[in-house]
Amino acid sequence: MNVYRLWRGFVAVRVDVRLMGVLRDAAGSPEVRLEVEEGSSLGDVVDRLIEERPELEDVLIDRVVDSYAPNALIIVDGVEASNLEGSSTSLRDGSTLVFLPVTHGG
Amino acid sequence: MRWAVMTLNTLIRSCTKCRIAPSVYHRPYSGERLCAACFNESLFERVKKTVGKYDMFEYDSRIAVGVSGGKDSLAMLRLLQRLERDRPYAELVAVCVDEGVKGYRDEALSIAEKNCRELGVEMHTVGFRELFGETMDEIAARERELGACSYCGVLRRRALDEAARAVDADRLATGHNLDDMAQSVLLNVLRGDVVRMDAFHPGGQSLEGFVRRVKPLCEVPERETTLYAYINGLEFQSLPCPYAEEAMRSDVRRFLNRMEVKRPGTKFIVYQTGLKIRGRGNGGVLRRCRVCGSPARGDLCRACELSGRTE
Repeated sequence: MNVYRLWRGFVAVRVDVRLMGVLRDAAGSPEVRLEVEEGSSLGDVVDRLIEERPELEDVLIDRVVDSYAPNALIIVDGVEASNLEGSSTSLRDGSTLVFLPVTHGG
Repeated sequence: MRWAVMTLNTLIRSCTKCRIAPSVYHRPYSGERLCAACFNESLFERVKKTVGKYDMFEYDSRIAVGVSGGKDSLAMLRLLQRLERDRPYAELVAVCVDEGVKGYRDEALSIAEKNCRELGVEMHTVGFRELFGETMDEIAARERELGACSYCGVLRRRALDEAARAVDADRLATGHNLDDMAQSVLLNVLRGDVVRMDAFHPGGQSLEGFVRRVKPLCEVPERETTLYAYINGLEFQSLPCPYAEEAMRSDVRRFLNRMEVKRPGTKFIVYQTGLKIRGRGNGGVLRRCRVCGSPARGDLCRACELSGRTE
């Protein structure tokens, strides 16, 4: 694997991100497909999303407690992320992530 | 530790209740890990217990369920419908308020209508224009002393009362969740509002001529109503209100959410503290509004004050 990595640069895995509620509006799109390095964690994907769309930061992460948990539920392949390894959850090729803001208008 | 399946690159623990299915949710304040079916069941059991604890309904109650089209009210409608299956004499009627916020409320009402149709629940809608002579869009556009939420909150509350009376209900169930309740406790403390603190009770109070208000989701955290809506595939409105600006509540919400991450269970403690300290002040004397006869602290109720009705 290391030799392959050196040759290829990195092995990319593809993850599909579905954004709901205010996140969808902030991102301007309900779905985003990202290519990230193999072995990337959920936290890496959150950072990448914020890097590409800074307007998502307020809902996606609370820097004071350094957690995405206060404002959003993140579902990784049907499982809520805190039931896995939280932001350290590693992702596989084809993973689907759903970002669901907790506070909605109503 | 029991392990159910391996997906992703991680082992998923099995449900702590059924011990068979893989868990999908970790409940930080209790340590439970639940599969989707046990999560649904635990939410239903909690609502059932809350309804019993505060004696919210009679066996033959006609319950007006305040439905906004948001996740909380739609989750409540489904949970109450299941709960009332065991009470053949009880009835549910959905009551909706059209505040007149173009784009936002239109979408919510059509979602509410769709959900009610699916569940076979009768729906009754009242509007700000018919009740108060102007829509929320018009109120927001004119010169005003208070924030839009102050008007909308008071008038919407009144509109729900009117709708509940119009459908002949003896209870009005609203979708306030644990987060809303804990926020209200802290807001009352921060504002020094002893009178409101005295009235803080999820089971409401019976006042002659008024429909008793109850809050069956008062012990369900907002994260869990959101997850319930997602797991059960509920279509709900997800857009925030364009006039949402309640700065103090937002500050309190942020504070409580951070505390909950650091110390799971904080919201329950704040809510329970609110229940313990209620009734310790003198509560103020409840009077009747001289215009509409609603319960009021002064000569006029807040709804008549804000809508400018003095005669």
